[in-house]
Amino acid sequence: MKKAAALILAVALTALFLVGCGGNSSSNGDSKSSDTKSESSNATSDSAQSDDWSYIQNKGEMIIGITYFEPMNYKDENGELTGFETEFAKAVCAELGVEPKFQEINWDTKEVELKSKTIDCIWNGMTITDERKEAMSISDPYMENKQVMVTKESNVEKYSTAEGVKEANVVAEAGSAGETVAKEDAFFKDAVYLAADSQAKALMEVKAGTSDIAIIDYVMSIGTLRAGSDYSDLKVVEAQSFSPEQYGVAFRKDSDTTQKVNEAMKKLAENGKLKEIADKYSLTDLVIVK
Amino acid sequence: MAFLEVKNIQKSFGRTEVLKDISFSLEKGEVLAIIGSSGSGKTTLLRCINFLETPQMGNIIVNGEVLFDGDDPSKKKDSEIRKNRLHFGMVFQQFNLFPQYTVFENLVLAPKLLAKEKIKENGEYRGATTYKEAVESINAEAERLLDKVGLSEKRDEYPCNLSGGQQQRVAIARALALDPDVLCFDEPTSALDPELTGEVLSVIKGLKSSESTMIVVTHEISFARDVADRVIFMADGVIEEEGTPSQVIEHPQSPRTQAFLSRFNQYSD
Amino acid sequence: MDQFWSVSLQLLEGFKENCILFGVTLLFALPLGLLIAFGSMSGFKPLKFLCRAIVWIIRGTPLMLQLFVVCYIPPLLTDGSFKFKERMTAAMIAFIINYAAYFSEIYRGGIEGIPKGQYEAGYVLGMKKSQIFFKVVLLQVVKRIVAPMSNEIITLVKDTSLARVIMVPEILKYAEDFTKINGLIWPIFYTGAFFLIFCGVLTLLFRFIEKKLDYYKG
Repeated sequence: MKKAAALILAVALTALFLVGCGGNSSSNGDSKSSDTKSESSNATSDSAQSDDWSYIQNKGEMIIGITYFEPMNYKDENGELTGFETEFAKAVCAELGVEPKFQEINWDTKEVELKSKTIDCIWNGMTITDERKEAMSISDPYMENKQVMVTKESNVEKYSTAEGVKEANVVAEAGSAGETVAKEDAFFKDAVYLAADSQAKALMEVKAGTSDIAIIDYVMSIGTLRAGSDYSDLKVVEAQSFSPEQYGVAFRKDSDTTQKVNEAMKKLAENGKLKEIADKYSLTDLVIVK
Repeated sequence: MAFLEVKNIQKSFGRTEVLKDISFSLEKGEVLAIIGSSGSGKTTLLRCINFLETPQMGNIIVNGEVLFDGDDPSKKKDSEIRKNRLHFGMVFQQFNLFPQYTVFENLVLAPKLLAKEKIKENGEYRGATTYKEAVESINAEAERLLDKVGLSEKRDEYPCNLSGGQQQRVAIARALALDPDVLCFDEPTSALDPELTGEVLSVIKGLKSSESTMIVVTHEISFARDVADRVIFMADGVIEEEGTPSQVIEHPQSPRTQAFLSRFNQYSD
Repeated sequence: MDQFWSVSLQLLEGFKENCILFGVTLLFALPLGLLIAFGSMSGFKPLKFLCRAIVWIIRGTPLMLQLFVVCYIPPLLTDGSFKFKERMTAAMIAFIINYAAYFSEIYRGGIEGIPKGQYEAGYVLGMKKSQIFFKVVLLQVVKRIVAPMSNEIITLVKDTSLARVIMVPEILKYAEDFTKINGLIWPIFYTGAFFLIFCGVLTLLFRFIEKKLDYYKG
């Protein structure tokens, strides 16, 4: 009995190994040239990915990594994916002649997704930072990322001045543009900062009263603070806005796709298509592709 | 030739030699008691005879059939060992009843499995030619054995609801259900409370007949004296002394036997 | 009220994924665990060490990491040419391997806990090894492992929500989306009800099984 079971297990394990190796070797056989190239790219990471566009073109589809948030990428009442970024990406893909395919991603593992080619770009209101420029190839900025303060309605007046913010508890998503504002902007130099693990959690902190002010993206505030949501009693402090950071689309490091997308974005800006989409979501003021 | 012949059995565990050249024989219907202090190899000898251990050397012959030959280097097949085991029955110190089965199911489980197998292979099991027929006679035999050990009314109880003495009596009936040539007892009363040993010993005593051959490893010296036809005293893996109960127990010749028995008498007084 | 029903329906949609992941994991991990258990008790040393090493690695690393490994390592190694079409498949593989490792240890404990005397009693009654395993040992093992197994299986129900780290659309992910997209907080807490009900049913089921097996002791 024991021996028989042991034998079955051994066979199963061997089979597993073979499957693993088989997948590997067949993939090597499939595209020998591109494979060797990308290997050398991993080593030098300089010359590489110059064939990224032809990789996407060969597939015929561009997998666009997104996370859901209104008004950028979200599901309408029919469950259809829509939003400014969704339509913008679709328009760019149409321009480039590839099918857009949207894949929701975990924001924490976006770089892994990109590198493992489970997605081809991150197109989700991503703030351009030096670190990200270092790790990925980022398109020309297409939109401003305004940061706003959100607080309880009764406190809007109080937090409109630097004096009022003194000793207030300020919360923002760790690693976000909001965090940079909270830590570096002189306006908050006397406030107490706390990091949350998402913008939504930052809002929840304020809602629960454990923090006084959340610093979030302006575009995020549009969707989440509207009437009927659990945050409808929170308000944006209109008197102040910060950090004109910018959004860009991220591609694999040194990808030649970036250039293609830049050109397509320019074209859409010129022919008015981009403005048309931005108008639909009342984001026209923020668009910066000219 | 004797009914059971055990010749030159030698068994070591690693470097420890537990049995050194053990030989004895037994006639049909005889009861052999093996006594000796713990660690003398009694239990190991019994386990060798039941093929739970494999000796390094020696022969085991039952009714002229060589069941074990230490000189034969070929490894025995499982089915052969199983066949050989059926010549012997074994009653353990810890009873080892199957807890999930009733008393009755404990008795009939192995015979039924065996009957199914035999009828498939040979078309016959103890005179029965169909499984149904075999089961009927197995059930009847089980009822008879339960009656013999005085536990008919416990037929449908689970072992956990029985006293130690009752459990051991079930174990004896279970061993008998396969009708072994030689029935072995490995210290059958050692795990029992003193007041329960009597019922088990009297059941064993009741089994004694011209037909049943038994080997009893025991610490019950008076039981050995009353029931056994022959007694072996073992010490340090050898047979120190053997003979009739009166020879070994009443008039021991070897100083070690004398020492063992006198120690024993001190306690039992 | 309308909102409550539409949220409930969507969460239920997500919970369906949890249930599928739960069911498939059980279906494959239970037998695979038994094979690993036999392997790790095998007399054949290389197999034994292999199985114990697998168990050590799987139990010694977080399930979340294993989800990442299954989901991303194959495409990373093959430069994107081998990837899971459905992320649920990756989640299933990670869960099956993870739970098989835990189950195997429970099996092993159950099997090794059976007294040697049970096997020997079977041997001297002329039973085959397979007969001893199936007719004598198995049910005793089952009785021994019901309690630790039910523990592990109930943990599995809750662990399924971890699949969201590789973007399997399970219930907690739906709930988090309600927070992110619609600004609703309560769906997050509401998901607890789904898990509670499921685990409640399982608890009753296991209690029933334990009771069924309670007719004997030992």
